Amino acid sequence: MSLHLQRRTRAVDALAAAGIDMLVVGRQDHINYITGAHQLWTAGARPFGPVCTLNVATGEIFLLSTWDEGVPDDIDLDHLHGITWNGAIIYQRLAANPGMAAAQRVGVDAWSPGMAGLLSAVAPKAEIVPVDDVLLRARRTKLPSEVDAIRAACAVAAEAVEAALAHPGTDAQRLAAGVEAMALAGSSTPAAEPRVHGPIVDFSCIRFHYEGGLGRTAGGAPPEARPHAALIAACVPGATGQDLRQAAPEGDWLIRGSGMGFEPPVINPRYGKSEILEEHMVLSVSASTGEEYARDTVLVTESTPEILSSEEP
Amino acid sequence: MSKSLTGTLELDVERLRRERYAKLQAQMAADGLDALVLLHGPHVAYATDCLPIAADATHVSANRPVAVVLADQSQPCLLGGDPDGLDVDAHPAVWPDIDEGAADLGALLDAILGKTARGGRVGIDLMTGAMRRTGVLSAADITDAANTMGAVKLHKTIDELACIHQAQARTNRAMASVQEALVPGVRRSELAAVFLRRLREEGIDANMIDVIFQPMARRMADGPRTTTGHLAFPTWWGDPVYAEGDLIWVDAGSDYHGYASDFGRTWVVGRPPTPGEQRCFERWLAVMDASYEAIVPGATFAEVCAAATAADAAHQPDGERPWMPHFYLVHGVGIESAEMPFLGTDNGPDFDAVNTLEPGMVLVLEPAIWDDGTGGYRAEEIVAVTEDGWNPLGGGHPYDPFEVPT
Repeated sequence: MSLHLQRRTRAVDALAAAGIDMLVVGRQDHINYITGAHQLWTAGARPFGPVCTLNVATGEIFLLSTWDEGVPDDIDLDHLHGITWNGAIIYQRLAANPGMAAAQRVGVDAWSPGMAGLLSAVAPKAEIVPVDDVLLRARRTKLPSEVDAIRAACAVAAEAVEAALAHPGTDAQRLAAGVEAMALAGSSTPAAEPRVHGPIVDFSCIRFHYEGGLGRTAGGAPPEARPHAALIAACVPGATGQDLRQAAPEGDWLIRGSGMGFEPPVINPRYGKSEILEEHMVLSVSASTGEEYARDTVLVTESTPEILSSEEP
Repeated sequence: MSKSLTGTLELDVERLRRERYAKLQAQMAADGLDALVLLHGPHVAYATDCLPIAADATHVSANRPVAVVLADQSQPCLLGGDPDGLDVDAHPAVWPDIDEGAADLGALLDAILGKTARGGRVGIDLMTGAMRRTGVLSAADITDAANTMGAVKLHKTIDELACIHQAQARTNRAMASVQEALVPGVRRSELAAVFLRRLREEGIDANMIDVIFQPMARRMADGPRTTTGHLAFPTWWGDPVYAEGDLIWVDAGSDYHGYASDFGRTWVVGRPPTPGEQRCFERWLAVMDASYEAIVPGATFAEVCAAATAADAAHQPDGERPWMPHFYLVHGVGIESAEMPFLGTDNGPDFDAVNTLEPGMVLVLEPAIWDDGTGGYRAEEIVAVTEDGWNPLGGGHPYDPFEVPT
């Protein structure tokens, strides 16, 4: 089964278990997870809107796209909705969506007063339920092909880190060199904001939906002595947020999920004490001590964590 | 066209902040709001001048800054973000996408809003799932902030025009370098690399869309299938290698101080345009000339659309309009890459008939000419509507390799 259909099965199972009839999502990462469509990347978070719907019982999907380029074959042209600027058309499409009128529970990935009014009109019997947590829970552990995609994205980000470390000049010039190298290596879309600050360099990219990234300090310690080394070693199945706090160095640190961008769990000095790590999670692990900063993308395995961003620098 | 604004388009950041905040307060009063709670990045920037970060949506939203504007307060509150140098009442960062963070946000909002949180009328633009689960602002009288924000951003202040002008001029310069790199055998990724490096060199750190260099199939039937039966544009999938004679439609947008540019051009790889391609360009020029002629304060959107359509009517036996049916003849630009006003959309003729151009609106004109089998021409130009006409922003950019007839 193709990767996007495997992912969709996970999402549908999780939504069904949560008692959701219809899913209405606007966030690109959720849409990518379910549909596998390659849609235009734009920077920043968009307002909430009904870009994709999924009927949990039948699996029927409608996707906002004027063309079929980049859309997997299992979503036919007659299940694509062209771009519209007209609120009445959005209403008509949702109202005509089979299963919407009778839905008891409509799951959404965000909420606004305007969209809540629209959904209540097209699904008058339904409770509007936030299901971003349900979807992100399903996305938390990665399939083998997802791990491969993340590893490949890490290799692209490593090219940027290497270029920025090697390039002479101001921080801005080195940052430009990193961004250029990343585009040549296969991604013109950043995940986090790229960072070049003196010796500290951090790049990440989105490549074919998946994020890879790493951070280094020029002239820093060897891998086993980097600020995040003990944190990485502590990323084993069953480790709790509390365990990770105890492994953390003095200073700033963050462990968070990494997949189709930034994902839960978020574990830092303030949040995530009761989170529990599981095998097949992929995490971004970063820490700073004194002048040194390091970050890697790490796969939680049954034994020692595997560093997916292992390509030097 | 009116007398040139360009000489006066120098950004004064203090004035930008002051004038926007005054407009926001006035609009809140008109809309009967006690407070605004803003999470959408461009809205936060409008209220506080804490600029959006041009990164993936998942990263931008994870610990996004939140703006709170209280009626009659002299400065906005900023939760998170970087308050350094801003005239804001700064509060700690929040993580509204996770339940623990949303609970912290709810407590902070209750403290900031005071009794407004209990029954006051609060405009909000977005709630995360975590905010809904943790009951943030559940005792307030919540309304959508969209109308308030839509009203304040429709007419630009002089400094907003300056930002758009700067964004466009810098994007133009970066694109001049890209066009030099467009030779047979070059890949899309190589052009993107030049563009992203050059933007940074121009002092722009906010590229807003994955830049588009779309090779156009000469016949629509050879391109992707569409819901409109018309052109597919902009598409971006893959890493095409360009060959001599390829027709490339270019689209890019980047932010300067939170305001967007919009670059559109048609390029031909490695050779001059054929006579047929040049004719498409000249039709496009005629549509632009007619549109410019129609742009005056008080003109209805329909009048501008009718002028553009008439200019190309001789080439449109089926009565088609000279722009792509899934888009528009004109869209606005500002803190969003496409915002009101929209002219010639699927909002339909009634919408276009009752809405009028007003001074301070910024228009991106993007007609597109298509001659199936030959190809087509599309480009974009930005103008500001003035008291007596319009003024170009961005300083202009050549149409090479097409020739503007003298």
